[in-house]
Amino acid sequence: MLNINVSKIDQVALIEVQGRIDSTTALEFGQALAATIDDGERNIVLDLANVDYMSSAGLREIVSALKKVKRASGDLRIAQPSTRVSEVLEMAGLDTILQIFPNQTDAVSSY
Amino acid sequence: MSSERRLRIPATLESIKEAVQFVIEAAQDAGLSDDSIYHCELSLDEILNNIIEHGYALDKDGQVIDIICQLHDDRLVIIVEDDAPPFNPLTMPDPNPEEELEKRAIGGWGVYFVKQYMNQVSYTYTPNKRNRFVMEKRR
Repeated sequence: MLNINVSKIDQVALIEVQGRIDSTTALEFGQALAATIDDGERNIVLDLANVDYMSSAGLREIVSALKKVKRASGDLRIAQPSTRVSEVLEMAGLDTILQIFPNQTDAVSSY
Repeated sequence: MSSERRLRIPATLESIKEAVQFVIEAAQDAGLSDDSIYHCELSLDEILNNIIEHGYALDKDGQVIDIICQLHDDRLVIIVEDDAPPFNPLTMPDPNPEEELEKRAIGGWGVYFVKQYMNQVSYTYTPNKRNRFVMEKRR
């Protein structure tokens, strides 16, 4: 099960995800990211506080969305990833490519 | 002391959940730590996803994947066997974590994670024409 909530705070699109991002849910996750960019959002915060499991299928969707939004001169920033999600991001070297913030407020106000 | 458990699943993404639960229970019974159990869970997820999406890509109907867990005193061995065309995922070059964004392929991290998380991995194409991927996690 995956719950995805998209909201707007000032000029920032906040995507809050809850659940597991694995082979069966990654597509839904990727579609939500792509739809947000397609809607014209350029300042995106992805809050992963309530994601305790993310496989490479989820990572693929994040990289894909990041490329897409960067091409449109926007950015995607991560808020409060769990320890296990952070580990996956670090193994793939995304911690040096993505801006990662310890909480949602800092991530939103970084724009 | 060692024991063995087997599970056969259809080659569908929806079946991965059952296989993951099967391995979690075996890992718990083998006395692995929570972190090690998670490593086994993610590694199995990655390998099954590869087999279903790539190995059986053109012909999933009626295909199956076997998962065998061998519980030893000091480790859990997870064996995954399938009937897809022979393919050794360990021959794929590792992706580069230092690659800049624009040059990166979108995927390719699954097997890399498995190699990072498991203590030992190996691949053989068996005489009865099955891909056999073996992962080992020590206590």
